[in-house]
Amino acid sequence: MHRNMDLSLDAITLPAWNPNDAVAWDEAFGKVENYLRACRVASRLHRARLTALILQRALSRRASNLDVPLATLAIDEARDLIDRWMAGLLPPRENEQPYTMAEGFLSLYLCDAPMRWPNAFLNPRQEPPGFADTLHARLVKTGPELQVSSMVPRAMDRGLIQGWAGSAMDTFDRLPVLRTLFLWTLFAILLVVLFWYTRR
Amino acid sequence: MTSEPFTMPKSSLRRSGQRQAVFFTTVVVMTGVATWVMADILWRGGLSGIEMALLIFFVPLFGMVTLGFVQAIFGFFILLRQKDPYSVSRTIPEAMPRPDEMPATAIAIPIYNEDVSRVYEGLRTIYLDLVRSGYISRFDIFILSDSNNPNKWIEEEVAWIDLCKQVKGFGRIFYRKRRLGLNRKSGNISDFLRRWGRKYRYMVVLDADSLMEANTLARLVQLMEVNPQAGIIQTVPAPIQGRTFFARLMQFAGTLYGPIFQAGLNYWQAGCGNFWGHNAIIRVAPFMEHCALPMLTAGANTRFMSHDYVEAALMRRANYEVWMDYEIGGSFENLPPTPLDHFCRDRRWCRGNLQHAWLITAQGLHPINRLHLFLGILSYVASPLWLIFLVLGSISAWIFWAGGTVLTFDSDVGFSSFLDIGGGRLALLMFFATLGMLTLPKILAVLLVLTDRVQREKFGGSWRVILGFLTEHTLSALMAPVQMMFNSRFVVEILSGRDVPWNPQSRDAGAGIDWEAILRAHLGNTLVGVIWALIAFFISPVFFWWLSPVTFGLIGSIPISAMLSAPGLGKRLRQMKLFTIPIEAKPTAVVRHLDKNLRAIRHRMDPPDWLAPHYGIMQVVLDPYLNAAHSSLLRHKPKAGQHVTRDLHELQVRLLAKGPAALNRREQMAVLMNVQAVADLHDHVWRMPESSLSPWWRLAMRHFNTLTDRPQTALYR
Repeated sequence: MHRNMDLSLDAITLPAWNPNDAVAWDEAFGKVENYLRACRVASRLHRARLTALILQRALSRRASNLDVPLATLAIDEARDLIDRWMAGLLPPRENEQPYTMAEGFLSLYLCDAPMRWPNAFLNPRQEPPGFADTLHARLVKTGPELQVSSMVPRAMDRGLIQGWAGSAMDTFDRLPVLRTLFLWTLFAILLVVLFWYTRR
Repeated sequence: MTSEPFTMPKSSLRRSGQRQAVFFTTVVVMTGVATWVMADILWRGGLSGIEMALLIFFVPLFGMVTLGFVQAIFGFFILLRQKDPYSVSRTIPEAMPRPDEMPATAIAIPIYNEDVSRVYEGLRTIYLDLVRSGYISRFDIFILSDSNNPNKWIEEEVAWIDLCKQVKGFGRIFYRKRRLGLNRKSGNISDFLRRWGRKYRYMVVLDADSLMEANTLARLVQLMEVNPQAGIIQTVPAPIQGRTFFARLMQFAGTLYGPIFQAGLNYWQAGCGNFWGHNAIIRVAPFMEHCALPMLTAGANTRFMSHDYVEAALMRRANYEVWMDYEIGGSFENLPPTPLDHFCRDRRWCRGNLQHAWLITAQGLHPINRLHLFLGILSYVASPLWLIFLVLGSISAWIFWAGGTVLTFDSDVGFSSFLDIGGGRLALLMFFATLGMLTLPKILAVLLVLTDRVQREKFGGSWRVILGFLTEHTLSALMAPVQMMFNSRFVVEILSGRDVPWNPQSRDAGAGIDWEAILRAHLGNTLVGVIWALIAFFISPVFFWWLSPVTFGLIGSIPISAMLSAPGLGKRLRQMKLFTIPIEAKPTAVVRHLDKNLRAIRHRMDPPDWLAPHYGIMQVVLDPYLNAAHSSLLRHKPKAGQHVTRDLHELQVRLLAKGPAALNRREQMAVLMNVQAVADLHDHVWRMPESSLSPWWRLAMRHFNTLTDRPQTALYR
C-alpha cells in the first residue's frame, strides 16, 4: 500500500501565506514537527520535508473539516501516513488481521530502527537493505509458554500448648532433644540448690 | 504434582542432633552460671520485686549474648581447622558442572518500586557472566514486578526492552508485572511458580540488589543435584558497594566478623538452616507442594509478612533439608546506606518476625525451626526487654538513693563471700565478663585475619584492620542503645496494631545528609538520653558512669547518625583505605563490571523536579515508541463494562485537563493498565491544540520536544 504514497519533494505544495491563518499553520507545523521528532526523525531536512508534505495533505482536507483545528487535522494526517507506511512494512498475518500502529512502532523500537536507519522513517523510496526483514523478525515475549499448576497452603495444626503436652510424652523417646532439655532442667535445679546453699 | 516427601538419612540427623546438644548445652550452662551469679549479686538480704524482675529479664538477654558468643567460639575453632567438615560445599566435586548436565533453572527477581538502574545493571552483569561462562542456556531470568509507582513501572518496562535488545536477551530474560500485588513478595513468587514453576527443577531467588556470579549459580545447581535431600541452599551474600560511612562500617563488620559466626551457625543448624528470602536456590517441586504460606491465623485474611523463615520451616517439615553455604562465594548484596534506612528495614523485619509467634507451636515443625522463629522474635523483643531491664535498674538505684542507702553491693554474703571479693567486685566482674563476651568474638575474627598474610593485605593491612575494629566496636556500642530505642518503639507500635507499610528499601546513599529526617528520628532519643543521664547523676555519680554507655549513645545519636550517613566521609574513608574489605581491594569481574556501569549511570541527567514525579506517565503518553511498548506488555482484556469505560474516560479527561497530579496513584495505575486508555491518551495529547492542554502537559511537551530525543533510561550509553 505504501508504494502508492507520494512522498516525493516534488509533490509538495505549501499553503499560500495568509496572515489570518498564520498562527494556526505555525501551531500545526510545530505540532507535526514535534511528533516527527518524537518518532526519532533526527534529520532536520527529512523532518522539514515530511512536515511540509503532511501540512499539504492537511490543507487538502481542510475544506471539508473546517470545524477541526488545523493542528489536529495535521496530526491526524501524520498518523494516517505513518499507519499506512507501517502497514506496508509488516508482513501479512495468517488471519489477515491488520496491524495496529502500536505494533508498527514496537517493531521499529525493538530493532532500534531510528538509530540504525535514521532516514528510513516514512521514506519508502529509500528503504535501506535489510530494514523490512529485521522488522519482520521482531517480537516481544514476556514469558515462556505457561505451565499452569497450583500452589496452595497445606493444612496446618497450630497445636499450641495442649497439642504439645499430648504428644510430648510419645515423642520423648524419638526426640533426643527432649532428653537434652531434661538434662538442662536438672542442671537448673542444681543451680538453684547451690544458690540456696551458699546463703544458708 | 504429588512428589513424596524425601526421607532423610537417620545418620545425618543423628550427627547434627549431637552437635546441637553440645552447642546448646554450652549455652545453657553459661547462661545458667551467669544467672546464678546475677542472682547472687542482687540478693543482698532478699530479693525485692524489682530485683526479681531484673533477674527474670536478665535470663533471655544474657542468653542471647551467650548464644552469639558460643556460636562465634565454635565458628572460630572450625575456621582454625581451615576446612569445615560440616559445610554442604564439601559434597560437590572440584570440577565445575558441564552445562549439558544441568537442569533448567529459573532466576527469579521480585521487585517493588526499586532503583531500576541497580536492578537491571545487576541483571545485565549476571546475564553477561552466564553468557561468558557458557551456562546461559540452562538459566531463564524472570523479573517479577509488583511496583505500584507508575514511574517505576514504566522505567522497568523500558529498561527490560532495552536490556534485552542490548544483550540479545529476548526469550531468556522475561518481565512480568502483576496487576495486584497480593501477598507481597511471597505472593509474587507463588504467582510465578503457578505459571512457570513446572518448567524448572530449581529456582534461584535474588533480591533487587543481589548479584551472583555465573559459577556460583552453576555450583548451587550442582549442590542441589548431589544433595537430593536439600530443599533450599542459602548463600551468604557478601556486602558490596558501601558508599557512606555507615555502609562501609557494616560491610567491614560483616566481612570481618561474619565468617566465624556463620561457621558457628552452620555447626549447630546443619540441615535445619534458614532461608533469608534471596540469594538462595530452591527445589521447585517440594517448594510448590509444601511451602505455600498459610494464613497468619486461622480464618484471617493476611499472610506472613516475613515469609522466608516460614518457608524454611515448611520445607524442613516436609523432610527436606535447608542448608546455609557460607563458603561458596560469588554472592553479593547491598546494605542500607544510612542508619535511618537500616532502622526502616528493621521496622519491616520486626513485624515479620513478631508474626512468627503464631507458628511456634504449630505441629510438625522441627525444633530447630521453632528455635529460629523464637530467636527471630527475641532479636526484636530483646530491645524492649533490655530497655525495661535498664529502667528497672534505674528505679532500683533511685529507691536506694531515696531511702538514703549508699548504692553499694559490698555486703559480704552469698557466692561472693566464697570468692572473698564482695558483691561490688562480683558485679564488676560480671560486667567485664559480659563485655568480654561481646568483644572476644570480634577479637578472634581480627586474629584470624591478622595471622593470614593474604587476608590481612586484602583488608588494607594490620593497622587498618585494628583501627577499623576499634572504630567499629566503639560506634556499634554507641549505636546499640539507639537501636534498642527504635526496636522497642517498633515492637510497641506493632503490638498495638499500627500498620507497617511495605516500603522499598533504600539502596543508595543519595546526594548527602538528610538533616531533617535525622533530627526527626533522633530528637526523642537525644532528649531521653539527656534526661536519663541527669537522673542517673542525681542518683549517684557512680550510677551515672555505669549507665554512660547507654546515655552517651542516645545523647550523641544525631551527630553520630549524620556522620555515618555522609557519602563524602565514606568516600574519604575509601580513599584512605579504611574499612576496606577484600572484595573492594580485589573485586571480582562481576563486581568490577557492576561498579563501572553504576558509576556511569550516576552521571546521567535527572528530569527536573516538577517533572520527576510523573516522568513515566509523560513518557508513555507522549512517546509513540514507549506508548507502543507499554501497550504491548498489557493484557488485552475483552471490552470493559460500560461503567468501567466511563470511569476510565473520566480519568483520562482529568489527566489531560489538569495534569497527572490530579490523579492519585491508584487512578494513574488504572489508566496505565488499560490498553485502550493508553492508546487514547497518546492520540489525544498530540491531537489537542496546545491551548486546550493543561499547563503541566504544555511544559511536559516542551521538555520532551527539546530534551528527549530518545527514551531516557539508565541503559542507554
